[in-house]
Amino acid sequence: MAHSQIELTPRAAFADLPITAPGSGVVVQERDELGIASVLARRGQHEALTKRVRERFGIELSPGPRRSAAGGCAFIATGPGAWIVTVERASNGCVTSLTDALGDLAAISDQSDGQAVLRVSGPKAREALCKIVPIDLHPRIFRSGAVAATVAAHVGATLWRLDDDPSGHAVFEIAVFRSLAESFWRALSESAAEFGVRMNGRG
Amino acid sequence: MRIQCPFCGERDSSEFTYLGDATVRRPDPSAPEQYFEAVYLRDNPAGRHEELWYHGFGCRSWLRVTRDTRTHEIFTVEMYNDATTETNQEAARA
Ligand SMILES: [Zn+2]
Repeated sequence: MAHSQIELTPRAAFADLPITAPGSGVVVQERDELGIASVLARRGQHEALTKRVRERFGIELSPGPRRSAAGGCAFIATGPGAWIVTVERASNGCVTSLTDALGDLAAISDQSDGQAVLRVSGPKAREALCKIVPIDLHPRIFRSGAVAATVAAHVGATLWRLDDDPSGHAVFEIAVFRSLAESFWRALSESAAEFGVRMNGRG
Repeated sequence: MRIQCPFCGERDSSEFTYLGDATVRRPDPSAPEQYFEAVYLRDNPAGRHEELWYHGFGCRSWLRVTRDTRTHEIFTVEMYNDATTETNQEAARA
């Protein structure tokens, strides 16, 4: 009965959303090839998990809301004993390897299709974002590696800052639940309209 | 008003949900009068108040906040789970 099956094809969360004010002040890129998982330390296993992550991934989990990354894998701390883990070009496959490595110490669940991640860069990225999140994004306060679990125009969001791009502009990534991507996009594109918006190819 | 979350740092009150008095303990359900008192008969102090806040649009932790209800001055903020664990440990030692 294969002929009666519905053909399912991947569809990026931000793919069909309109750019109403084209320009180059804010550059966005959907990170739809990221593998994403939530990792929650089991009760009393936080220290053991920190040690295991160091051994297996070469990643030092620093306390507080920080992003720690190595070799294409990043642990983004969203709460006490809670992380979003992203793996480059892994899609859903990352969950199996995370579960193999950490499953006895943490509860792990796939979020690759649950969360949509947008990279926001360009000379006016900070100005566009700071209008929609109640977070102090001043470069001295929200430094490279900083993370904020917060709210963006009523949409729950996790925001983090990467290293600056070669021209010295701040680079951010923001994760929202996929079903809220459109609402979030409406807020961000309104906020960025005065600077102009360009959407880069996927990655 | 801003609350200094022990995990997230200083955040706007719009990220939090207020639950109320942090000192009320759930009484034995078989004692209806005590239960009624715990659920419905709350004090409304003017001044220092120990209360529960939930950082729902943040790290999703429960916090125990000591706040002046007249001025919104906040004296202490701690993770509620840590605080109750300590309280339970103290109770166990006593
Ligand atoms: Zn918090």
